[in-house]
This record gives sequence, structure tokens and C-alpha cells, in this order.
Amino acid sequence: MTTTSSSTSIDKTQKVSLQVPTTTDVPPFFAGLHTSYIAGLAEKLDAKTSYEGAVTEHLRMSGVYWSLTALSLLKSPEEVDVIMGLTAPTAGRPISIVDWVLQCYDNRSGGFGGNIGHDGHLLYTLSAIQILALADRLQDERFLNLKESVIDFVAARQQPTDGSFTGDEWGEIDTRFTYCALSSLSILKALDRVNVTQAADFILSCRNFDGGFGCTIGAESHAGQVFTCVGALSIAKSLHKLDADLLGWWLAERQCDSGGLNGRPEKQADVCYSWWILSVLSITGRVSWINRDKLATFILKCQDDEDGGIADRPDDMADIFHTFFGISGLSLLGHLHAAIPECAPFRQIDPVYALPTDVVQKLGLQGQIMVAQEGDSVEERLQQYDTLTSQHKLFQ
Amino acid sequence: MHGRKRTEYKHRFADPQVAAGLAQKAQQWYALSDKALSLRENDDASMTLPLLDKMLRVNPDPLHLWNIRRSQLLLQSDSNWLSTELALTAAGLERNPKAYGAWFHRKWVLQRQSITTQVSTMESLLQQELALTDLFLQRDERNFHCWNFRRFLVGLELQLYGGTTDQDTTTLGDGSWWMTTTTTEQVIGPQITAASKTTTTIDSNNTTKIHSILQREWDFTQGKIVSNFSNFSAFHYRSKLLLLSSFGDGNGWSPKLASTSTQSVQAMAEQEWSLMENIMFTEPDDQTIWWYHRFLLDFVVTQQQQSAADWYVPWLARQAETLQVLVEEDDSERGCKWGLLGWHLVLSRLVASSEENKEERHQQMETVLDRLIEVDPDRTQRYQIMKKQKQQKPQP
Ligand SMILES: [Zn+2]
Repeated sequence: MTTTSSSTSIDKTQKVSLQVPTTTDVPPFFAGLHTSYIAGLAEKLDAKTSYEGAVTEHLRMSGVYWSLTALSLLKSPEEVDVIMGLTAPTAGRPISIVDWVLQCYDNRSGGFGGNIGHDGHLLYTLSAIQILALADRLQDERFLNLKESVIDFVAARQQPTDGSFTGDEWGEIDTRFTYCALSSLSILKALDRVNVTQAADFILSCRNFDGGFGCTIGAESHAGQVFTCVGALSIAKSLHKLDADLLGWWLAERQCDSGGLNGRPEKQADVCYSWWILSVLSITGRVSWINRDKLATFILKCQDDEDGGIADRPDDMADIFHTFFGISGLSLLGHLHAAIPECAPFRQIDPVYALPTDVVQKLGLQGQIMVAQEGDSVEERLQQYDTLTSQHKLFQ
Repeated sequence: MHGRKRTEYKHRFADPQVAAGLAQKAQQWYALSDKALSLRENDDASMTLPLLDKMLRVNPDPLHLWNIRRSQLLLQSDSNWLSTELALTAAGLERNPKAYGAWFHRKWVLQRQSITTQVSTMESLLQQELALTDLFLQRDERNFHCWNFRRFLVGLELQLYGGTTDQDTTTLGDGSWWMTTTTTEQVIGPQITAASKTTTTIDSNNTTKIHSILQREWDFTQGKIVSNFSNFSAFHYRSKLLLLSSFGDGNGWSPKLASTSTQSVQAMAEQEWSLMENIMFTEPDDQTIWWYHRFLLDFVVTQQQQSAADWYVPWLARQAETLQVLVEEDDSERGCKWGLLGWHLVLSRLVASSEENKEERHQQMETVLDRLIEVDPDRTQRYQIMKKQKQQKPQP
């Protein structure tokens, strides 16, 4: 696959138009229920008697990030701040989320842990930085005092031998960590602290015959891992190294008869892949390679129509992870804006940084996207990025 | 949360007795969790290790608990903790076979062991470990954590015999995947930062051992594939092993670490095609084999020398005939989508390599694409791009 940089015509008026599915058995989007589900989650999980809270205690940082980002697509920033107690404590909680995030800083490692007193890890360091970005508190003096140590922690995770990243100082290598590192450093404007070219080359060494990527060299392709790899390549502005036609085809074949997407061939569909796959199709300009209406319908069917929240599959128990990925998936499909009047005024999700687009634009975050064909227009949410035009070689 | 039925789950929590039991478990967890964090300050292994043992058996996910455990283990003067750690990680993985932290801890323990242990002791330890992967892959043949762990074990085995020295890196073919021709890196990959690597020179005895390891792995994928043609994980691993293989003189597969001769590529391609042909006619709607087929076509091209064109074109032509039969005999409702895709792929390779029947083949490709749009309307956009591109740039 070869690609060339070119100035692609950008149609600012173009909107992704989607039909509201017309079949009668498609449920509506329960914006109000999801809002109350997310709003009630913190209090529920914080209770020392919550079983769910106890078993997910170690990844609370990511849970908070998923909650905040999902809610940001349903409510205005001011409402999100009040509902979640983002920058000031809300009723019943002693401290704000921002205060809590700063308490999760681990001064032994220099990274952020998943909860107070836990060890710093790239997974939670990225979530913490994303939360601070959402809260517009990257300039908070308390964070500025830690910032250099955080950057040191992230940069020190790169392995000089092959450019890969470890999650923490214990040495586990995974392409997820490459994404966490590049995204964190890009948000902190410190990408120059690592060897970005080598990082991208490591990602490419994890590519398989199907065009996808696994968690390390030799590992099977997995759609979740594909997001982290393509996201990292986007931030590294190295998308020209992708075989986007092959990868796009493999991802398009993840769509099952139910309309939902699976993560690997011959596996069951699951709402979380709506995000992992749509984000990559969006970055590579190939969202139209799947049936968008059928996917939106599948996500809507996974909602809990009593208590709010979205599950992995229809009739399963909802959780915040799938709620975030379901709502973000609908946003990438253009569905939240086109078909749901209550959501129309609010923010959209950015497929590279997994943050609301206005946050990405305000911070001036850099990256690269592709269009599938010369003349394709670029979605409004992607216009701050560099654009590549694909040169197809479908017959090779 | 994956695969929990909503009504059952809610019903379970609605039972006051169950709810009280779970609330108690949560409180116990938090008590242990607080204790673990406070004990780490004291470095008292006699209390910390049993506590962590208890916690990680119940929940093997929290990475920081594994970290605390490793810190404590390293402080102990008696470093004879292999068996306790193997037992603990096995118990954790019984609980959650996808726990990253537990798999990593097991790798960490084994890698440390491999530095200090005699070859013969290590050999038998690795045999036991391979048996554990057999067991976990019987329960879930697609568990990529376990497949990665197996490749990690093979990496340790090969290291015993000097089979993982780094040499030249070559980019193959269209660059859609990379390999190091003379090493096993592409099969194994770094999953953990390297401890001090032992460098053994490869003598002939070691070469025999390396060959038998690779042979065993090849046979392992074969067994998995025969028991279920849908096992994409096994085909994936096979695609990596193929890079290290040699097919010569009708003896079937044999491992080799040097470049492959034209003859052996032909023998391999014929053998793999006959396996595929069987599966394609048995399970034409299962996409697994079709991805592997595409890989084989690429692989042959990258390994093929010009002089072999007199074999390559007839080989493709035979495939085209077979796939035409498969497609035309199909009378299922689904319309043999994958057969059409496979046929199209083979035709496209044929017109790129041979002038013979070119016009007819172009016609067939056009017909196949039209048929694909009918049987697979969800992916129409991609087929349209393929059609359009075909009109713009007819193959030379
Ligand atoms: Zn999921």
C-alpha cells in the first residue's frame, strides 16, 4: 500500500446522514436512563459494600474516565461537571474527581495508579491525563508540579532495543502500552521525549497476514489491539505504513449477521468492538465499509431499558465499559447527532484520542487520518488532522 | 463484564441473602486491600505473601498486587519460590483465564528460573508448562493469552539451544508483514523485557532439538485445525511457523532456519492447498480458511522466484477451476460469499501473472463482484470501490 500526502477537498457542510432504523423492534436511545445510570455509578461503586466496586477497585481510574467521556456526549460540559463532581465536590462526596486523580499519583514510580495507593501504570496514567484534559485542569498547579515526573515515567517505558513500551517497570510488553505512551505524551506536548519512529516500527512488526495487529510480535490479530496500534500510528503520523485496504476489509468482516461487530473471526459480536473497530475505520476513512444502520440497531438493542447502561450483547448486564463504548460507537456513526435530538447539541467523540472533539481541538492535538478515495470528504470532527489519500491495490 | 444475563444477574442481587453475602465479600476485600497497601511499607514477607496469595486467588486482575508480591519475593533470601508461584498463578487463571497480571507473573517467574536453572531441569519444567497450555486451550481454543504464553515457552525452549539470536531483518513482499528470516523472533516476539540472555552457539545437536520443537508446534496447530477448522488462532500460529519451514522431497513439513528453495515452496503450497480445498468444501461459509488462503497466495509470491512461473500459473488456474465449481454448485441462501471472494482473489492474481484467457477472466471478475454485491449488501461500498478501480486501472 502506498499513500501520498495531498490536500483533500474538505466539505465543511458535509454531515454524516443516517436513517433512523425503521423496523419497529428497534428501541430508542435512552439518553435520560444512561445519564442517571452514569450519575449513580460513583456513589454505588464507592460504597464499601459494593461487590462490583470491590472487584473493579484496581481500575477505578479508567472507570471514571469512561463515565466522564460517555456523559460528555450526552450533556453539556457544565452539567457534566456538576453531575460528576469533576472540578468541585458534588453532594455526598468529600472531594472532586480532579482532587482524587491527583491523589492517585504514585510518587514511587512517577505514574498514576488505578486507585489511591496503587502503583503507577501506563494504562491508568493515560486515563488520569485524559480526565485532567476533560476537566481542563492540565494547567492546575498541582499537576504542573508532577508533570515532569509523569513525562519521565512514560518516556522511561520505551525499550531501546526495539521501541516497544512496557506498562510499568516490571517489564510486560504490549502494543496497548505504546498507544498509552504516545497518547499521554502527545497530550502533554512531550512526544519528543521518545523515539516515535522506532515506536511506530515496533507496531508494524506486530502486524499479521490479515492486516491486523496483536499485542506483541507473533500474537494473533485482535480488533481491540488494532485500535491501539492504528491510534499509535496516527499519533506518530505513520499511517502510510498501513495496508489500510486489507485491514479495512478484515475489520469490515467483523460485522456479524446481528449487525454487531466481533473482535476476531468466528467470535460473537460485542458492543465494545463498536468502538475499537469504528475508531479505526474512522481514522482510515472506511466507516462506510460496514452497514452502519445495522450496527446502530445492535448497539441500541444492548441497552438496559429499565436502569440505563449498555451491555456487551442484548439482554446481558450493562457495565460502564460497554456503556462508554456503545455511546462512543453511536457518536462515531453520527447516530447520536443525526437521530437523537437530545444529544444533538452536545459533543462528539474523537477516534484518535477518545476524548470529545472540542477538547482535542482546544489542546491542538496532532495526528493523521486517511481518506479511502481521492475526493472523499473529511468528517468535520477530523479536520484538525493531517490527511493521507489511499492508493488502492485491491487486486494485488 | 462479559456474558452475564441481565435478568439473572439482577434477580440474584435482589435476593437479600445473596446481596448480604456479596456485601460481606466486598467488605472483606477492602479490608485485605487496605492491609496489603499498609504492609508494603513494612516489607514483612511473612505476612504479606500469604495475604496476597489469598487475594490473588479470588481476583487475579489487580496488577499492583502482583507488583507488591514480586517486590516481596525479591527481598527474600530463599529464592526457592517457583512452585508456590506456579500454583498461585494457576489458581488465579482457573478463576480468570484472561487475567493479564497472572499470565505475566508466570512468565516473569519462568524467565528468572531459566537464567539460573540447568538445561535438563528447565526442559522438564517447560514440558509441564506446555501441558498447562494444552489444558487451557482445550477449555478455550481461542484464548490468545494462552497462545501467547505458549509462544513465550517455545521462546524459552529455543533460547536453551541458542535459537533466538538476532540477525538480519527482511521486509517481505508488499510490506504487509515483516519477518526476520533466520530467527524465530517473528514467532515469539518480546512479551517481557529480556533478562540476561544466554548465548549458546548452535551446534548440530542443538539444531536437531530446535527442529523437533518447531515440528512439535507445527503438529500442534495441525491437531487444533483438524479438530476444528474454525480455529483462527491455530491458523495464525501456522502462518508464523510457515516462515520457518521447509517442504522438500515429498516428506511433508520440516523445520528449517535458512532460506527456502523454490521446490520446497511448491511442495508446501501444494500441501497447504489440498488441506484448504477440503475445508472449503466442508465449511464454505467459515471465513477462517479463506483468510489463510489469502495469506498462502501472498506467501508463495514472496518466496517465489521468476523461474517458477511455469508452476505458479497452472497452480492458480487449478484453484480458479475448483473455486468456480464450489461457487456454481452452491445453492445455499447465503450465496457462497467466501467462495466468490476466494475465486475473485485467485482470478486477480491470474490476470496479473498471465496473458492467457485474460479477457474471459476479467469478465468473470466483474460478474463475481456483481454477485457479491447481491449476496453481501452490507459491504457494497468496498465492492464498488473494487469495481471502480478495476475500470480505472485495468491490470497490465
Ligand atoms: Zn466487550
